[in-house]
Amino acid sequence: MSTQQTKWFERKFDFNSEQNIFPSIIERLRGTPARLEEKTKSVSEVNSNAKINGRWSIKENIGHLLDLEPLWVGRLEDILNKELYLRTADLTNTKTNQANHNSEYKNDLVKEFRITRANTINRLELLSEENIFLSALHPRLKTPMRMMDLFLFVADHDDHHLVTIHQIMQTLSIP
Amino acid sequence: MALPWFERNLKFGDGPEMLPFFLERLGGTLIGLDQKVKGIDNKILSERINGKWSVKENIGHLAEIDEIANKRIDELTAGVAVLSPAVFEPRNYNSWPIEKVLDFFKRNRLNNLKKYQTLSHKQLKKSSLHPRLKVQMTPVDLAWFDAKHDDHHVVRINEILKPTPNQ
Repeated sequence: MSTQQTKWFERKFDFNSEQNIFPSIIERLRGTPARLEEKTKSVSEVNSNAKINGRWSIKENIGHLLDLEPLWVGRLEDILNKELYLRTADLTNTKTNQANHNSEYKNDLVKEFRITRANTINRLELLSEENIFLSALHPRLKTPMRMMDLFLFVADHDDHHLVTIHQIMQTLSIP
Repeated sequence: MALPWFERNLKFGDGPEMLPFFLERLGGTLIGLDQKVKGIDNKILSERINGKWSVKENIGHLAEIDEIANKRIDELTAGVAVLSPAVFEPRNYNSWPIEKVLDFFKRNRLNNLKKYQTLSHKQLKKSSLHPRLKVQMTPVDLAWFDAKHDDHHVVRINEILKPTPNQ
């Protein structure tokens, strides 16, 4: 396939669905730890640390998902608290760049992500239909983001990093 | 209760650069289902609740949809005007061991993933009319549509299995 993936900050999002597709979004979010685990299970520690052209390694991509989970849950709180704006994200990804995820074991990162994501899912399953359609303004996109849109964004962000990990594996010729 | 599939509003039109994400999702369904049904009693997996499809029937249905998608990818690249309708061959999935149902799905899914990966940029932009939705659809749209369709059935499977320990 000759097609390159779109860069995350160049992605366009469609947040216009009036239908409640939240159950599908929860299932996508629930599936990410298993997909990460399966995808990376044959990758050695050495290959998990490889930074190709100075970009994030496989461990750093997993660690980044872990680093961002408090932001997503914080934004969930912002919406429930009826804040005007969602809290900002650090677009330079300082947390991930400074975390030294390469010093951790890959399986520990995956395990920690599984636990963290399970806590998020527990929160999502308690939301009412009314909560799902509440919104606050996204600080970068400047558009209203409903709870449903926020977590669709998170599911797409998960996919983005799964694809990135897949591409690293292809570059390293890992089957 | 999840929104019924045929009531979904769907917007097509993503470009070829979005295909890697959709293929990632399509591959992810195999893994998610495998983990969901692991260790679950055969009786639970074969049970129809309120006359609705069992877990095995939901998975078998995804495998059948992939057979149709496989044919449709060929039709799209051949430039047919209208895609084939979705016609299913009746199979009694509830009498099959779960491993056989999963294998059937896995085989079809992996065939499709391979086929999508061989398509050129030009082929990914070709479109044909979807017979039910009456919209022009490209291979990229088809992959997205099937990923959404997967999610729908995974939600349904989760509803069935929710009281069991794996979930």
